[in-house]
Amino acid sequence: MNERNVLRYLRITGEPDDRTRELIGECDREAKMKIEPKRVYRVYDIVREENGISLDGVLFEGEQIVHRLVGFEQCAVFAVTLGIGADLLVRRYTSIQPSKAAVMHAVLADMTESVCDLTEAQIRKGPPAYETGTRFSPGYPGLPLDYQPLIFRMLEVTKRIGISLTEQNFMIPHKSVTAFLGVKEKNYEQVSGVVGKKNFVF
Amino acid sequence: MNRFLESLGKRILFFDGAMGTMLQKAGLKGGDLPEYLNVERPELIGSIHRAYLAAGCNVVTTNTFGANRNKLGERVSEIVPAAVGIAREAASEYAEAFVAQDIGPTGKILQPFGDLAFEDAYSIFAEQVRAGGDRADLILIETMGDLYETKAAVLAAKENSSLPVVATLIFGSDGRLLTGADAKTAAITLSAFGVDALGVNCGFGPEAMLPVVRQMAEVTDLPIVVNPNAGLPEVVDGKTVYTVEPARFAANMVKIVQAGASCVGGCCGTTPEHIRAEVEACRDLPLVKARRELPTAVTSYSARVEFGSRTVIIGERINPTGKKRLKQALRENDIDYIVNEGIEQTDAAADILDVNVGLPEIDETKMLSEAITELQAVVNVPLQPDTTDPKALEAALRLYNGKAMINSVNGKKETTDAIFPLVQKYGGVTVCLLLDENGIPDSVDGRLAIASKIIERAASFGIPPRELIFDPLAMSVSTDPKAAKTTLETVRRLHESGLKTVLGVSNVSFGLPDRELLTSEFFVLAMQAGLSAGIVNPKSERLMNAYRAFNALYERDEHFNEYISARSRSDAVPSVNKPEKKSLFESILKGLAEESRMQAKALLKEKSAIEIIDGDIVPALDEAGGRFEEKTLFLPQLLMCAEAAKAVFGEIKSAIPKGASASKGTILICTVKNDVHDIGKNIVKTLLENYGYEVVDLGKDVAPEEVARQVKARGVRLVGLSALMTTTVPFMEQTVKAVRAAAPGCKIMVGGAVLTQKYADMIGADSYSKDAMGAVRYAEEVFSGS
Repeated sequence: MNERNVLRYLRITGEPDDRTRELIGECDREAKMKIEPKRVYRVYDIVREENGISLDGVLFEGEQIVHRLVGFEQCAVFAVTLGIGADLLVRRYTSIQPSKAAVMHAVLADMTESVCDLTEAQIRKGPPAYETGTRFSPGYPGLPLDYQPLIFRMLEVTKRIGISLTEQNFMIPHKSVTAFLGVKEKNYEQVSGVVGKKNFVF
Repeated sequence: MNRFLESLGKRILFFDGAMGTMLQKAGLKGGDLPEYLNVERPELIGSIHRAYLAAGCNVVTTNTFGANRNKLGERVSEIVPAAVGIAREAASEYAEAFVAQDIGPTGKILQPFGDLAFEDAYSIFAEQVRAGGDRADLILIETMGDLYETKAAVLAAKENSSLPVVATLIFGSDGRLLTGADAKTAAITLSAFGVDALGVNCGFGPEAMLPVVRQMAEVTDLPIVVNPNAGLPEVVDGKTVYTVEPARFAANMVKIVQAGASCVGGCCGTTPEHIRAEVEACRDLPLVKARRELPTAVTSYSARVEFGSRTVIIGERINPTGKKRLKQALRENDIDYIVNEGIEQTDAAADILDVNVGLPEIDETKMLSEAITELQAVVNVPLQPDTTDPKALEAALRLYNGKAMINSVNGKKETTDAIFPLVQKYGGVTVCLLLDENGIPDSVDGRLAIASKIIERAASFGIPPRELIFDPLAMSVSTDPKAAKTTLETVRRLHESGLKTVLGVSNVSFGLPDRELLTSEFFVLAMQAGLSAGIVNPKSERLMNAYRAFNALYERDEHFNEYISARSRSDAVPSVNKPEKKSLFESILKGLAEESRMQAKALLKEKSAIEIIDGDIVPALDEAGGRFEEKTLFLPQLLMCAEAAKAVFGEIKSAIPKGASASKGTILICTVKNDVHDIGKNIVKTLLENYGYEVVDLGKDVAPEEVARQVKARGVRLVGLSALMTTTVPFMEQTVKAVRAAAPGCKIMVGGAVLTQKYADMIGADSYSKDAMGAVRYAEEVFSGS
């Protein structure tokens, strides 16, 4: 857990008081027992189309996605979730201890980010090893939530890790993220320091 | 009798393999809906059924996995009959072939986690079932990851068709369903739902399924159906492939049959070759019959409680008898209070919660359903609806997510006739009180005779004795000195004849001083006599200490784990250190809920409730609110302060004179249509309530018309609307318009992460609140004139 992030989510500037800090610790311990992080990802070749990009024949329309993937030949798509237990924790405290619900919310948000970071690290590790850009998600400006059902179908998200979409394309469990990540295969030289086949352009 | 039922469980039946895999081989693309092919290319679907029949399978599954309203819209009634027709025609060429009408999950998650209401899931499935028109031989509900959704599907199948119902579940690699139940819990629950066979499909290959099948076989005597994938999916060249070859698949299926399955087939990645190999390998294997004695058990959506040697603790606190505060909560529809009582009991180690919310002046059916729904959303222990009203009981059992404990029937025929049909339909372990038309027999034999009578009646409804638990009735020793001895002897005799027992333990001490002492000692004696479960107060430290000590002494606490951890917990409680004496104002401001409550209790001797509200609570809240706005105190502290204030309110509430309502006015709040985020709204609610407003919370995802209707009906003067997502903000505008039209005088405040003052002005809201305190300040402004 990154306490700075948790504090940021809670809009706490400066040092938190002892009781808040205690509550953060409590939530962190409880959440660790209840979450069941899961992820699914796959790397696709990017095919540039007139009005967007397509991955494995699935078209993602829009300028933003094209713009954010400039310079990459491939794109990793992933989905992660903390599982239904995380939602249950927030729900449990919402009526009986709202302060804990709010802190729990922040702690879980931070954990979701961590799972995304770990997923990125896993993708980078490969094989093959990749260099990566900055991840971005449906719901960011210019990246419509309409992408969600496409991602869900491509990665079989519901079946593999149990996230489902509402009619408005929100994810349940709430503590879930889908994301795109531009990737580039590290060439042989970078991996081993030896000039390899891939640099043999001529 | 249905032909399929005649064969089911009598010999090994073979189900078919994958439909999707075969369609992909025939060129179906990932994004296409395979169900349309039933009308577009019926000959292709028919040829797949025939290939499986030729491979030797007995049950072909219609191509209707996703044939529901969510995916097909209006076309359910067209596509399902077409699919059943294709399978029927293919099967007609074989003497021993059956058609299974296939039903997969809706693809939505049910409330409370998701946005699909239980009854809406039921209606989606019911439409699907009816579209099949009973032309199949069975209904196969499969690839279910949530027991609650499975329950909706099973009820829909049983209530809209006369066909046998088979349900199979998909487990994760951890051996659990998505919603948390393991194989035993899932099998116990499915058996209670009244399916004709149950099992597992998809998820993984036959090897990994073996432990799941073994666990299921330990707890159910229903036929077990197993349809594994051809191994785990792997991605090769961007395509999903399954790698277990037919020979290896078949060899593993032999082990599955030996573990207790009587119906086997395949799921993703399996082909007619897999099924052919499976049929050849398993055809002549002997059926393994369930030998083990089945447990008496109840379940929640994720956990089970078995009645074995260790006495089960049933929390008795949610019962208004003799509890003034709970009666008040029930009258005021204060569900939070009930939920909190449930959480406290489970934290105090209750295994099951009794839920009795009957009061003469309230609608018990509605209240019991609501309490069950809310409780099962936050606690994961099984629940025990406790009511004498069969209507209230049926509503609760229908909504209950698991196999419930039912409280209760007795030897009177009218109770068994009313309750046992419900047990038959929804499942459950029933508490049987040993009394009848003539009252409670004085003798042990008299009570045992009633037990025999109830067992006989239960059998006539197909309910075996293991689904019953007998309450020999603990009566007060103060009115009958022999009462305890008679009860204990009855417990012993029932236990010796292999029956399960339960007691409302605390009755024994009624009318005598230091009741906890007598109750605890009696509980120990009853456990020694073989008591299976005690309905007790788990928050009573004395009783729970006696319980843990007994378990430690009686070989019921491995390595003394529970005894030791309970002892170390009580050591860890710091001796109440009394540093500087804080005022109530300070305690509330610091958010010390328990301390504030105790102080308020003491203060009530010197001050009136109104003085406490005006002199301590309100100033503390104002101070915290002000510091929050100055950013010297932050959201968690503000909320802690509100919680402390709430605890004080709870303590002094009964001292507030009638008529001197503390409410400053009624405010209606909700999250707008299509938005399922409610944390912001909940924070606003907490604060408003503590500032003395009555808050009507309509929840999340509320339609504009509903908001307008409620505003008008309740005549509220202020509405708060919340929206978190940009996509749902337009609904806020619609809601503002609807409220304006219905109640022109009503003020509207809006807030939420994506809102701005500018947008609030644009949609015509009266006020924009940037945070929860903003909402409080505006409310003070609106109501100050009154």
